Amino acid sequence: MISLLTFIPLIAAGWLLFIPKGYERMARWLALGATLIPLLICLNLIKHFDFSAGGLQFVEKHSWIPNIGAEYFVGVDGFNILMVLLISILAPLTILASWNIQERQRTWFALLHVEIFGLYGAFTALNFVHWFIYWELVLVPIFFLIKLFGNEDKNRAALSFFIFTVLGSAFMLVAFLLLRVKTGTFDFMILNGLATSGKLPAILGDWYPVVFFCILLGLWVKVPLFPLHVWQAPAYTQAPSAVTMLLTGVLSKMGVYGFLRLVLPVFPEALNTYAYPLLAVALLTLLIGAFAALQQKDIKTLFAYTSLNHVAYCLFGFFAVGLSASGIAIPARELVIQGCILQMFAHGLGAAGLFYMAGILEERSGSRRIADFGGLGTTLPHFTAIFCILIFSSLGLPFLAGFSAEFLIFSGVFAVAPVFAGIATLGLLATAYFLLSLIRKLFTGAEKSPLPILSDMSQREWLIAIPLILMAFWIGCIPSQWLEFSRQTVQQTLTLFP
Amino acid sequence: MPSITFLYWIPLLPLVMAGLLAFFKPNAKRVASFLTVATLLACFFFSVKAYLIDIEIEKTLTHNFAWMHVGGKSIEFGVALNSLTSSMLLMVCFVGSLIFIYAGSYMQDDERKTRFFCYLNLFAAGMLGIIVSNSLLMLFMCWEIVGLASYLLIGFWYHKPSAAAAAQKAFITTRIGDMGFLIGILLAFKYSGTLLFYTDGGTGLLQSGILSANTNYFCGLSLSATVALLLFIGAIGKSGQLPLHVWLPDAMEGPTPVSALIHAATMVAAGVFLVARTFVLFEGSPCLLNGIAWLGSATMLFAAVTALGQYDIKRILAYSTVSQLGFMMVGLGTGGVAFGMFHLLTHAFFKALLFLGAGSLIHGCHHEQDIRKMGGLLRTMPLTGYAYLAGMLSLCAFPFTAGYFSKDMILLGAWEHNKAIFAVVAFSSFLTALYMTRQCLYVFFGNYRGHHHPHESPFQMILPILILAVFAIGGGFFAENIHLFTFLNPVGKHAEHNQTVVFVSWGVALGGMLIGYLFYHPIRLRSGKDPLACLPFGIYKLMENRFYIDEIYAFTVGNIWKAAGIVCYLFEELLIVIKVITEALVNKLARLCANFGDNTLIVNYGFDNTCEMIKRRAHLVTAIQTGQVAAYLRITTLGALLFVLTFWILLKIKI
Repeated sequence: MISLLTFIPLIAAGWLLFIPKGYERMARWLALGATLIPLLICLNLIKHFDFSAGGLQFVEKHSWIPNIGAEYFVGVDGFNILMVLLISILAPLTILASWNIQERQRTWFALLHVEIFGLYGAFTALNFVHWFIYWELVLVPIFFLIKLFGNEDKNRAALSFFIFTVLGSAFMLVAFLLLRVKTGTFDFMILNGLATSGKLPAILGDWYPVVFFCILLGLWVKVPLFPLHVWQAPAYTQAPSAVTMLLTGVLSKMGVYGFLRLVLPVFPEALNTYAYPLLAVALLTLLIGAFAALQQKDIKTLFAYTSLNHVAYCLFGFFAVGLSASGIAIPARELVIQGCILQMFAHGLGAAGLFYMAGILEERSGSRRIADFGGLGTTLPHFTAIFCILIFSSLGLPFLAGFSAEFLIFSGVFAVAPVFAGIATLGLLATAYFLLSLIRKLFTGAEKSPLPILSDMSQREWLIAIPLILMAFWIGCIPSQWLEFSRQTVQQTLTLFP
Repeated sequence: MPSITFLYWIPLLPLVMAGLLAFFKPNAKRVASFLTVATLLACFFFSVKAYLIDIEIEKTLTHNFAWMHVGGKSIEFGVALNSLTSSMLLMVCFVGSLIFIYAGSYMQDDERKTRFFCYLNLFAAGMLGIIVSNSLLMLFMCWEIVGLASYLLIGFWYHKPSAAAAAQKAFITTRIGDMGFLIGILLAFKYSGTLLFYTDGGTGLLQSGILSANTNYFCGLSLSATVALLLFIGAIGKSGQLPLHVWLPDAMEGPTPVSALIHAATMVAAGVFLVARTFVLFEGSPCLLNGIAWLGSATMLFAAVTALGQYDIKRILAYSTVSQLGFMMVGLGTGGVAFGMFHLLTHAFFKALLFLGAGSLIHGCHHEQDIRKMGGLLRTMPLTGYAYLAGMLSLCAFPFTAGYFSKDMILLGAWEHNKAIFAVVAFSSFLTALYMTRQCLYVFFGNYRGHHHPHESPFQMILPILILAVFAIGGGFFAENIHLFTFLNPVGKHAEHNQTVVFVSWGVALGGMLIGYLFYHPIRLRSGKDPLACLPFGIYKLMENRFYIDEIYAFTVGNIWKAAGIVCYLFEELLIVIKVITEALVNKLARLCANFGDNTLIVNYGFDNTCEMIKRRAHLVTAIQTGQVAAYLRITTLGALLFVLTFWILLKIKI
């Protein structure tokens, strides 16, 4: 089932390229259909998902290149099932978001589908070679999408996005070659097993920290964490909004997912050893994200920094997993990891929504500068309502998606590192401040005169916004349903920690 | 044991109504206001039911359910019913219904009236949620919803920049307190593993004493006192205590019913309610209680002095609210739950009355809020006027009005606790009587100083005011009759009757009014200059400008905040510069390598010959190099297909 899910977008991409000129209308319906089928498959996966099993499910494993240990190996468990769902929800929305694209339509949709294919693969593949192909593949369509369809400064943004992420991947590759040399396997699950039995540090010997830091660096760029986040804001700003939806919604989660899949079950000792410095980096990232956003004048750049801040919460929780404290009455490790997973999911939907709304505004008015807007609340009431719900979800208002995840993360981190959690609340405060300032500047006060008359939400735009809003409420009001997906896997993995 | 699951309906009904109204057409005004009032009346019905159950069964009833399961623990939500719940429910539903009726008329001409009622319902849902909640986290979540509703309502007329700014200020300022509250929750959760107040098994936060085991946790405070302190920071934000009071006067930008409901009767009292609810945690630490009492009295004095220098009718009431909230805190700190809560309940009636009255006056004077431009309104708006005077008497604690009874209790508590606090509070009470007398003399007596002709408000607005006036005067007797004080505090301490305190209480109320009358006699107001303006050292200017607290904050906190933003921004810019330089260097290096490599290869290996050859054949390849990405991708796809096909064939052959 997972293979089917993954390859449908690829087949669609190939098909799209061979659609003759003049059939553009058909092309977009095809593109939409090719994302809806994986959504149905994914819902079917969820229907048959066994909540009581912590291990892999729906596994497909075939020998591929036996000499180098490469296998075709896919499967889902608690760590990635929500991510697969996230992609399958966002994929049709990105197609809808770019429904009216005029130039090079087929190229656009084909590239988008290759990207979606790569994302599905990257979140389900479980053998290093297999996974690494996807991990690299997802960069290529994004590069072209930014370069061909981006805004005014697209070339620079595309280039630095590519250079930085490839740089990270190089380290990742080195790490896995080392691992392969030492352990003789590329299989994530076998590595996991080695770590469980405690043999891995002995096998790696002196190379243990080297391998760990190479993997860390590879993920560091992807997430991104301070100071390797410099590619992020230009890329998010210059990319067309449908691409930014994928970038922030899914691509930024690849790094976090990498931490869950490659670091948590394989390097528990290293996480224990370096817990404080890593936690400090995450804290710094989230504070820089929040405070740098205070000064932004461009809506999309502002959201890029918001995104930096929110994804850093995931890792803020994640890195606390290496710490322990005595006398506490709550399972701090479960709290932070569960919070991290939920935050990935919640932020993926919410941030995609925010960038989409910013995209609408840009499309209508041709501007992204905050100062160009004012008093939109009167002219665009529906747009304002949706925008504000997404903003409030983002700033962590209870009963919306952001809060439940952040509460889990904060409660877990506070239990083991209270000072860090205390400082991080400054980030929460700053987030609230600049997001509310944004609302005030965009929607309240008098209307700015030079703006053309803008029209409110169209039916297609409602179609995109409604699922995102509903999900925000669903995650925020009944988080237990979503936590159930990852509960068993997390519990099993955390037995690694003393 | 009666089931109390019906308590869930109390916050849920307004919530559902808010959701429904969000989809109503804006022209459904009458339906919207009718539905809103009906909803809250239904809640009132449930509240009465809760009250009846509560007086029948003395112990706390609970009903809990799990909201989340994480790692074998569950984070639970629930409802609890005790005297605190039921008395607060009755008050909020009753006063709330009256204010909603009033709002139906007050907002008659507003285009977005439906939306207004949607927000009001949202507010009611959050507020009632706070009251019934049996979980610290659920309380916090509802607390935030109330904050959101307040944000939306203050900024309801968002086309006014001042309203939008006030809304943001309110949200951010209260959120500063909320961060303390949140950390308090995290701390309690960390050591107790539960966030429930009460459970049937006696393991709740407030029952088990699990937090009081650690007697020296933080700077000499016990663990429970530390948690209490953090929760109190939340209460400071919400209840407008020093130094986070700055948002409350600005919040008067909202429509008047909002001011009455949120910023007088209910939301701002939520902080007091929170302290009352978690009072068990405070109890063990006399030091903390002392601190609360001092902070409360300081706030009370400060706000009362500021109120004397204000001219905006709603702003005076806002500072009065801040002052009275401080007074409630004094009650909690010196006496206990019942002292603070009793005043909270009576205050809700007379302050709602005053705000609704002020709304009616503003309405009657064609949106004039400056008391210097009013005057003699008792003649033109008699119903509103007399009702307003009743509220004023109650606020000044004129003997045997509702305010008198509750104020007396707090004064007694303060007297027994600490004479210095008693002195501050008594003096503030004197100022309270003074500024209320000043306001009423400005507004109701003398000659009319405005331009438009004032008129009495419609019946739908007058009715709630009159009902509230009855309670403001007679509420005290009513409360005595049902033994409200004992009901609120079945086991705690009771203040002894004390002749001195009663004497002081009468003295400050009557004295304040008398001196106020002499001072602000209508004849003296004709000059247009405030009689207090002759105070030396520019004190009056200081009062008029609210002691420049906003300016000081803007200068200190605001600038630090801005500086942090700028530092981060510059830092980001620096990183970008480094990035650009690195990229340029990499580029240079690559070129260098390419040139060097080329030269070496060409010179050493005669590579150019080969290249020539390739070049000659190249036209075959260049034909495909069209520069169109689509074409490239097409070829890539073909290649991939070919690859897969070959692979598949090879596999087949092998098998």
